[in-house]
Amino acid sequence: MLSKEEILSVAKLARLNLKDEEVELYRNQLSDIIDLFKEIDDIDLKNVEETSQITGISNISFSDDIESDSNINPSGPEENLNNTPMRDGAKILTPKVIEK
Amino acid sequence: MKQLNELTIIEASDLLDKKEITSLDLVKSVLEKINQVEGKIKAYLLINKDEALKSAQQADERIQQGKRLSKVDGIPISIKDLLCTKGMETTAASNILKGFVPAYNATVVQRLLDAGAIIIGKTNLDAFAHGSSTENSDFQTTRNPWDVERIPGGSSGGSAASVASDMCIASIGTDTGGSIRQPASLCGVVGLKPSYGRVSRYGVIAMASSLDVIGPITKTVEDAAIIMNIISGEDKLDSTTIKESGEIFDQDLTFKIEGSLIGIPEEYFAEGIDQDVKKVIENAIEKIKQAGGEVVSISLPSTKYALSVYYIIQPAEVSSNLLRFDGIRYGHSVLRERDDLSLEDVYSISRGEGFGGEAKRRIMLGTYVLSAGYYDAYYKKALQIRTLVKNEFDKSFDKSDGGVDFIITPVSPTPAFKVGEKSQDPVQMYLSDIYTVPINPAGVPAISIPVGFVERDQKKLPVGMQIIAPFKADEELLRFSCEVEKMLDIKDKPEVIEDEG
Repeated sequence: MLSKEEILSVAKLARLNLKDEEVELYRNQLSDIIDLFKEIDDIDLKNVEETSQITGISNISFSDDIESDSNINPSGPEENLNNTPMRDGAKILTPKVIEK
Repeated sequence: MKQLNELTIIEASDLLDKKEITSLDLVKSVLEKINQVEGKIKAYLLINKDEALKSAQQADERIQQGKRLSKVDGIPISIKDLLCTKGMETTAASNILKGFVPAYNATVVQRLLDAGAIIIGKTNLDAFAHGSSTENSDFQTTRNPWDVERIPGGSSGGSAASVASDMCIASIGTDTGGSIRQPASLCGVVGLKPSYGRVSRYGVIAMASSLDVIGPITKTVEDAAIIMNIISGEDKLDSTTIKESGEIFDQDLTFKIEGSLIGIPEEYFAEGIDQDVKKVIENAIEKIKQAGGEVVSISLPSTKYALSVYYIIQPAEVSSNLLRFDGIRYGHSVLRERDDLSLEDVYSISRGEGFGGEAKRRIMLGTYVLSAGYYDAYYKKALQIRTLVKNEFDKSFDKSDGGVDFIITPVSPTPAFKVGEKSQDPVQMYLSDIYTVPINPAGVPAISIPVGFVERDQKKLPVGMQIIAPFKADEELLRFSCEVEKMLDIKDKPEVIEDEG
């Protein structure tokens, strides 16, 4: 069973603000799910490679040209940034990161 | 005589070519059906009515001038709301993206539009495609057209229900662990999960990038081939797309079942499967045998670990992909209300408010299995077992070693379950994916086609069968499936009782 502290630590890593009742809920549910994973504890995996992708493709490269395709490059900041919560023209604003 | 909205792509395309119907007739017929049953089914998050009518008129002009672009020109298609549509709200069925209007189209959407297809609407899903029932949608639960008390499956439940109830001609879904195949099975339609990399993921809101695939949900196998012909192929905007591509799918969908070798993995018919579902699948396999297919028993022993592997790798990738929702650039943000918070607080409060329960659960689980001290015990091990799962599929299909042509399994261990039946128990919900999740880590293509029905509460509920093929053998998979579909000849349709008033 995961502890409350473990849940809070994971939530902090994940940048998730959880309500008290959520902490308790996820403590139970994540413990149940992680219990499922017990079945892989004792498998012998000596010399077994890891697979993180299956196509085997690597290092695709192409020239770094500006494309004129309007679907790739929308028509400027208005269209690109129309979903941004806080901005100044074409600049995205964030809260201050470094205090003086 | 079929109503226009009930037509397949092939049938509608044929009538459009002969100028016996117009695209406007077709779109109006689909909108009429939406008007009648959408209140009950709740498949759509957005109905693109005005644009669709306008696009239909443009398609009709092209047809009049003899300049029809493709077999989907003038055909209304619904799109899972996980794919970005330029200028059209795209939410992933999540509160955190409510109101998000993309500045560009997903490659799949762009290719369909370039081919003249008409986007009739955006369909509901489990938020961020996390789920097997659409109950995890932050907005609404879609209902199964065969019994509105039941779920349509998920996560592409809105897409499958929109096809099954003829509220579109075809649809696009996405599949990370069964999200095309399982709802297709439970709604009695065709759902293809192509080989990984066959279809561009550009502009699709990412779930688990090494597993995600985009594919068609259609009324027939032939229609799935037509859609694949348009959406598949290399895309420089997605470097994981594989080179073999398009123009091959709708040539000649015939296959000689006689002499083909079919593997039945015993692990997929063991405990946990509903006996009536099992009988329907066995009956379909028997018919393949009678048609001359050679059926052999095979074993995929690592299957029993595949659920664990999937529920480690997938949330790990989810936790990483969903970090982009930070309240700074787009989506739900506490910054829209107040400007006195620290950066850290903007992140965690925006995310805490915007994500629904299942997204949070997967982010937490993924962060946990990737965190120091657990990485080796869970994530690394899962990647190693993924190798075993993949190798077993490769070996089963290895013709030089007596391998089979196709593998057949059930799609879902049960028919559609009732709304609310599993929504409080994530482990039970995850177990409903047990036959579909092993496929994605291996990257191989798989399809669900309807093979029969079981009866529950005096209602017929469809059962789908999963056919799995070797990596990149999508075309053979479609050809074989088309023959099986013809042989079984299932024509039943759900009857959704119309809304009053």
